Amino acid sequence: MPNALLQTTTLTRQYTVGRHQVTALNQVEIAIQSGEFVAIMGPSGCGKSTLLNLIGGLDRPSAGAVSLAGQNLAALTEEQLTQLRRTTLGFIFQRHDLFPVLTARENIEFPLLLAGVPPAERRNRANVLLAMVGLRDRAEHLPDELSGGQQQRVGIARALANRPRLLLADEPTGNLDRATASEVLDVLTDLVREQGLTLVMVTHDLQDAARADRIIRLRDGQLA
Amino acid sequence: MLFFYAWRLVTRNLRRTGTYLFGLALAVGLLAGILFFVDMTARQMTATALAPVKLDLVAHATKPDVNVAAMVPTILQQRGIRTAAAVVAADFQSARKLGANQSSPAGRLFALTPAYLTSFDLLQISSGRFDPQGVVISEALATAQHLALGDMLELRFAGVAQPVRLPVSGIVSIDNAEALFTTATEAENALVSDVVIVDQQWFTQQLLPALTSYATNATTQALPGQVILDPQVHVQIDQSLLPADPGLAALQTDALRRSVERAFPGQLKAQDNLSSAFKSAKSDVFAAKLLFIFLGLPGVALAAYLAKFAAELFADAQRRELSLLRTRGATPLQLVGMLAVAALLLALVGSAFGVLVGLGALLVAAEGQAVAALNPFAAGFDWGLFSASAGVAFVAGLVLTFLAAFVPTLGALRREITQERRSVQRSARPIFWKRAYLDVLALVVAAAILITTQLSGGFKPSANEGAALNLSLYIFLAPFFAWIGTTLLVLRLVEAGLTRSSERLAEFYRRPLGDIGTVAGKSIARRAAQLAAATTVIALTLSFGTSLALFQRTYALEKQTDAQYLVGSDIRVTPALNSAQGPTFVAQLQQPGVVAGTAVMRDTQALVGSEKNTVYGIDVASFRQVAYLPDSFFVDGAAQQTIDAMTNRTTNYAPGSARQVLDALANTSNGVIISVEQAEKYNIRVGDPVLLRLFNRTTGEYHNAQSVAVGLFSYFPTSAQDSDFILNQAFMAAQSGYAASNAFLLKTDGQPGTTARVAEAINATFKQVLPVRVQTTETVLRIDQSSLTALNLSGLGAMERLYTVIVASLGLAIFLLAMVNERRREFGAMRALGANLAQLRRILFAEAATIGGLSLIIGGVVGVGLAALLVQLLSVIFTIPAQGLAVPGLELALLAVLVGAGMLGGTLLSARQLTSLKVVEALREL
Repeated sequence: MPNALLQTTTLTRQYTVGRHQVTALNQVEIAIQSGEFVAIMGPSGCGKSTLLNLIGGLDRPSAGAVSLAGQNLAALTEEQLTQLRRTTLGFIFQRHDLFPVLTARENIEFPLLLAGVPPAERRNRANVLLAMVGLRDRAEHLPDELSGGQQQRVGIARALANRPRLLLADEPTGNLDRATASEVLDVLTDLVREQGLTLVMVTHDLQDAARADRIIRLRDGQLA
Repeated sequence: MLFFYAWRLVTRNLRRTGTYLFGLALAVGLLAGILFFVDMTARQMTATALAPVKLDLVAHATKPDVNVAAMVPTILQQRGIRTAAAVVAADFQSARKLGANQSSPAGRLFALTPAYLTSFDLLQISSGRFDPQGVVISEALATAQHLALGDMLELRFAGVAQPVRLPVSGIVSIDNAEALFTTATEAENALVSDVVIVDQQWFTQQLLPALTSYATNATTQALPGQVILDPQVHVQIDQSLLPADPGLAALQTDALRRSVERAFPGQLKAQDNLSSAFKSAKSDVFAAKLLFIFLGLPGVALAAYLAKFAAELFADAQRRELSLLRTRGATPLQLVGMLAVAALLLALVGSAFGVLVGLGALLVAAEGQAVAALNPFAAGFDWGLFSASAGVAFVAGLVLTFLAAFVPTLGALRREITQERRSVQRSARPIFWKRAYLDVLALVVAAAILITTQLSGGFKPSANEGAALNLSLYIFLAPFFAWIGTTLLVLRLVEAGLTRSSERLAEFYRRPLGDIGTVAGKSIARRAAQLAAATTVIALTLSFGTSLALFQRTYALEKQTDAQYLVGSDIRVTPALNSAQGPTFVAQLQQPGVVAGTAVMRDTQALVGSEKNTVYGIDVASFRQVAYLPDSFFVDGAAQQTIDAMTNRTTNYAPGSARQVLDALANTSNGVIISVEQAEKYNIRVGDPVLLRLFNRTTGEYHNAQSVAVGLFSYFPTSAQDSDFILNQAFMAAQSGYAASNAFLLKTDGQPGTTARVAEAINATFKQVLPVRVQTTETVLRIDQSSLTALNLSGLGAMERLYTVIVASLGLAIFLLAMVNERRREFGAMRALGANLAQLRRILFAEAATIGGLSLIIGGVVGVGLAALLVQLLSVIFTIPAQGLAVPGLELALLAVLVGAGMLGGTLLSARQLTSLKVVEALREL
C-alpha cells in the first residue's frame, strides 16, 4: 500500500527472559491509511501493546521495519525518534499518565512546550483543547483533583495538543467504568473524526473496537 | 523455602540492596564511631588522671614492730599487683655535714631496697648513686648543708644514743615523691624537704632494733606529724588490667586495697591513691560523654533519617515484588515471614557493616591514638567496653531497619497495595506538629531556658566533688530544644516558601534551562514537602559540620587564651618564696629566643579597709611589651555605661583598651588599676582616691599608700585568681620598702618550639642554683589535662566533617535516586511525549540545585547560630568567656568545596539512572 501513513513489514520483536527467547510479535505486516481509525484486539499477551510501542518508536524491532509517513523508524537515531514523537505522534495511555505536579492546562501544554511553541500560543491551544474535552472550568486543577474520566479526557487533549498525524491509544478506557468509558470514547472518536486524525487503539473490549473503521486481531504475536 | 524467597528478595537487585545497606551502615557507623571515640576519650582521660599518681597503694603497718619485708611475697601473689616493696620511714632529729657548725632541722629517712628506685618512679638520682654503705640525700638537704658527693653526713635519731655517720653517695630529686610522705594518720601529706635514703638491709642491722625499741616503748610520745618508725609496703597495681571505665576501675582498686589488708588482718592499713584520681576522672568522663553525645547525636539522627530514606526506596520495590507473590498465591503470613527474614538479613549485614564503618571513622578521627586503643591483642584492651559500644550500635541498626524497612512495607501490604497508585501525596490536613506549632513552641522553650539562665547569672557548672568540672544536664536543654525547633521550623519554612514560589521558581529556572525549566520550577513547588525534607536533612547535616568546625576552633583558641592569661605571657618564671629576686633578675633569664622580659611584684598581705587583698606592682613600659593584654580584658571605667553597669550590678561594661588603661597607670605614679569586681565591691570609680595599706618590710608595720584609681579591668594577666589592684612597681617598692619581685614574664617569638627551648634552658640553668618554677602556655595546658578544657574535640570534629561530606552528597544522591525511582513512569511518559534525556536531566538538576543551594545557605546560617549557642553555653568551662566565634576559613572553604563536589557527584549519579530508563518498561510499571 504505497499511500499508507503507517506500514509494518515482517515486524518481529523477541525478548530474552532468563535463558529463553520469547517472541512477542512475529512477522506482523499491517498498513494503516491516513484518517483511518483502527482497533487492535486480541487476548492478553498476544502482542498488542508491543505492536503499539514499536509503531510509536518507543521500542525497536528485532527484525522487520516500521514505516511512518514514509520514514523507516529503524533508521532514525534516538534523538530523531524523540523529535518524531514530539511532532507526529500523540499518545493516550491506559492510565492517562498525567504529570501529577502540573495542572490540567499545564499537562496539555507540555508537548507544546517541548516543541518550542511560544507560551501565549500554548495557553490558547490548551484552552481550546480543554473546551473541546469539556473541561474549560477545570484548567487549573491538579490531576488528583479530577475524576478518572476527567483525567482521561485531559490525557486525550494532551495527545492532541501537537496536532499529531497518528494518535496511538493503549486501552484508553481500560481503567474506567462502562459509562465513563463510553463518554470518553465519544469524545475521542468525535475529535478524531472532526480533525481527520489517524487513530490506532489497542483494546480488548469488543464494544469499543466496534467504533473503529477496521479491527486488526492478534493471536500469539501474529495476525489472526 | 521462606528463607529462599527472602534471600531472593534481598539479592534480586544488588544495587538497591547496596544502597540501603550503605545508608544503614552510615547511621550505625556514625553512632558506633562516636561511642568508640567516647570510650577512647574516657580511657585517655582516665589515663591522664592517673598519670600524676606515682604510687598506687601504700599499706602502713599498724604497729612499728611489724616485719613488712616478710609480707611482700604474699602481696605480690595477688592478681592485679605489678610490684610491691617494703619501705621503712623514720624521722631524724637533725642532719649535719661532718665538720660544719650548723645542723639542719628534723627530716625523714627512708630505708629502701636498691630495686625500689627502678620499680617505683618516685625518686630520680640527679648525681652519684645508691650505695648500700652510703646515704642518698635530697637536693634541698644538699643545698642547705652544702653537701657534695663523698662528704660525711651525721644524723641523730630520737631513741638512738649514737649519731649515725654515712658518706653521701648520691643526691636525689624528690619533686615527684609526694606520695612518699603519706602517713597512716595524717589526712594530708606533710611534705618534708630534708630527706635521706639508706639501704634497707643496713638500716635493719644498724638502726631498726633501737628505733623499734624506742617506738614500742609506752612512754614514747611522738610530736604532731613526727614519724618515729613507720614500716610500709608500697604497691603498684597493674593498670593495664583495670577497666577503662573509671567507676569500675575505682571499684577494682578498692577491692585490691581490701584484699591486701585482708591478707594480714589487723597488721596493715592500706591507702589507695588511685581512687581520688578515678573519682575526678569519673565525673569528667561523664561530662565528656555528655558533650560528645550532644555534639555527635544530631549527626546520627540525620544519618538515620537518610537510612530511612534509603529504606523507603527499598521498601517500595519490595512492596511491588511481594504484591506479585501475593497474586500468585502466597498467604499474608508467608509474605510477612518473608519480609521479616529479609529485614533481618538486611539489618544484620548493615549493622555489622556499620560497626566496621564506625571503626573506620574512629581511625580517621583519632589517627594513631585509635590504632593503639583498638588493638585487641593489647593487654589493656577492654573487650567489655568495646562490646557494649559495638552492641549498642548494632542494636540501633536492628531497630532502625525494623522501623524503616519492615514496618512501612508491612503497613503498605496490609493496605492492599496492589490498588495503590504512585502519585503526589496530598493531605488535606497538615500533620500534627505543624498544627500544634511544635517548632515555634520548642524555640520558645529554648529561648525561655536561655533567658532564665542568663537572668539568674549565666550558665554555671554544677557543684560536684572531685570533678575538675561538671556540666549539669540542664545546660544541654536549650540547644536540644533549639535544635528540634530549628529542624521543624526549617522544614515548615522551606516547604511554605517553595509552595508559594511556583511562578518565581518557574521563571528562575526557565532562564538557564529553557522552557523545561518552567516545568522543573513548578514540579519543585508542588513537590515542596519532599524537597523540604531533603533540604532540611542536608542543611542540618551541613549546619552540624559548620557549627562543630566553628566551635572546635573557638574552643582551641579559648584554651590557648586561658593558658596565656594564666601564664601572663609565653613563659613565667617564679622563684621560690624564700628566694625572691630583684627586678634585675630578669637579665639573668635572657636566654636565646627571649624577646623581652618584665618583673612583677606581688603582695598578698595588702589591706583595703580591714580586708586582705592582693596587690601587684608592674613596670608598665616593659610589662606592656611582654604581657598578654587583649583589649577585651579592659573596661572603660570613665564611661557612663560602665558606671551604670556597676551600679546595677550587671556586666554590661563599656569596652576599654589596654593602651588606654596602661597609659593612665604609667602617667600617674601613684595610680592604681582595679578589677571591676573589686571596684564594684568598694564602690570605687575612676578618679577616686584609693587608700591601700602595704606592709613595709623595713619598718615592720603597715603603711598607708594613697593612690588614685585610673582604670578598670575584667581580667589581668599573670594570675587568674587574685590580681585585684595593680600599682606602678616604683610606687609599690617605695611604699613597701621591698623591691623584690615574685614573678618574671618572658616573651619569645611565640613559636612553641622556641618557648619550650627557652623554658628548658632556664630550668637547666637554675636547677642546681635556685629553685624556680617555669611555666609556659604548653605546660599549663598539660596540667589542665584532667579538666574538660583539655578535651580533644578535633577527633570528633574530623569524624563529623567526614560525615557532613558523605551525608550531604549521598543524601542528595539517595534523595534524587528515590525521586527518579518514584517517577519512573512519569519520566517514561515524558519521553513518550517527546522529551529528550537532556530535558529530563535538567529537571533533576533543578531539583538538585534547589536542595543543594538552600541546604548550603540554611546549613551555614543555622551552623553559625548553633556554634554561637554552644560557645555561649560552654563558656563555663573557660576562665575568659569567648568574645565571639573563631572562623576556620580555610577549613570551612574546604568543607564547602567537598560538599559541593559531593553534591555534584550525587546528582550525576542520579542522572545516570535516567539514561538507563527504558520507556516501555517504565510505562508498564504499576
